Amino acid sequence: MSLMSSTEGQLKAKVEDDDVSLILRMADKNSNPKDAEAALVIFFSRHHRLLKAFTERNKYQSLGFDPEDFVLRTFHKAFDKADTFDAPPNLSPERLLKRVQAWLFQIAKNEFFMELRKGLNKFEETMDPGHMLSPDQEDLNQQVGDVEGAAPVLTGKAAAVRTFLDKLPEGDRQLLETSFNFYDNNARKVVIPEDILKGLANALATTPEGIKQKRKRLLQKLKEHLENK
Amino acid sequence: MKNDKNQAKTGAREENLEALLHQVLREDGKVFPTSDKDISNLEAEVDPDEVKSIDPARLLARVRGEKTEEESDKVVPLFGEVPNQVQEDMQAMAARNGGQITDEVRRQMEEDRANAEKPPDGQKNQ
Repeated sequence: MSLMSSTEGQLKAKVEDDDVSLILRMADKNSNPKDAEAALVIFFSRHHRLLKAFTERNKYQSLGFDPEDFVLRTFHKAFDKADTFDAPPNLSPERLLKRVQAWLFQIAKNEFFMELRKGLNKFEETMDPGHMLSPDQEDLNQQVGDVEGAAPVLTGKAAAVRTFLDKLPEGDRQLLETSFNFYDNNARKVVIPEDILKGLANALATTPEGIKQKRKRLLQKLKEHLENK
Repeated sequence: MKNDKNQAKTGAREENLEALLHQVLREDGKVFPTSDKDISNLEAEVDPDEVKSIDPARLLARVRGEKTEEESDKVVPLFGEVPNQVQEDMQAMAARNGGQITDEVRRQMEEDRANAEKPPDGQKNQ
């Protein structure tokens, strides 16, 4: 379903409008800015709390992120990039909702990376698209691996991993969990770009080498924990 | 040759370990969700209704490039409430680049002020 300019711009966005209709109106902001803003308000009110809940739950405040500011920045970017949303035709309303949410979270993830880079050097605000994940491609790649039961090798060990994580000191758990936002599905391991690693090190008041060493030690501990189970 | 095999085995084990951890973190909503299933996992872990909403007016202000009242409020005066007289003195000091007034200059200023406040001749008893 590719998004095309809405022709019925005169009609104002309504609370009962579906997400695609709201995104279309947002994408049409140049010809009808008032309607686009009305659509944005409805869209924001409908979706922002899940992202805020995620940000607060994962304690990104400790990395210097203000949850509200982060959410606002994400939706601002979604508004700017509304015309990039795409979804296959004939999706059920439930699947479409998930697709919209995944799109938003992909934008949030990119913003998260950008912020970490800014932490590296405020004077070198990198906007390098090479590091920007393409929302749809990455999304689709992951969904291919999302067939039910696609990770049977993991079954049974998950509980042991959770026990291990629960017992970790807060800072160690935060480092390990945050680092897995950089998991590369092809390499099957965490790959943190150097510039982001430096920004992350700044946020965690350590060095890039410190992060690498700490991760290595934590993974070793996890391995031993699993072997003893 | 044997070393190569051992290294390969270790590498594979590490990959499995990271894949396992990643899978668990995705299931628990601890990393940014990117797929339908990740979103469902996250929704099972959090209750957005318990989260305090953000005023959409803040988003609109940001989109329009305006400053909201709330954002302006974030600028906290360093010294709290400052009386007008002190504020004027601080402004005056800033205008002098932080310099002090010498006794001589102060005497001259007081004299000037006194002269300025004197009623002009001939208006005394009117």
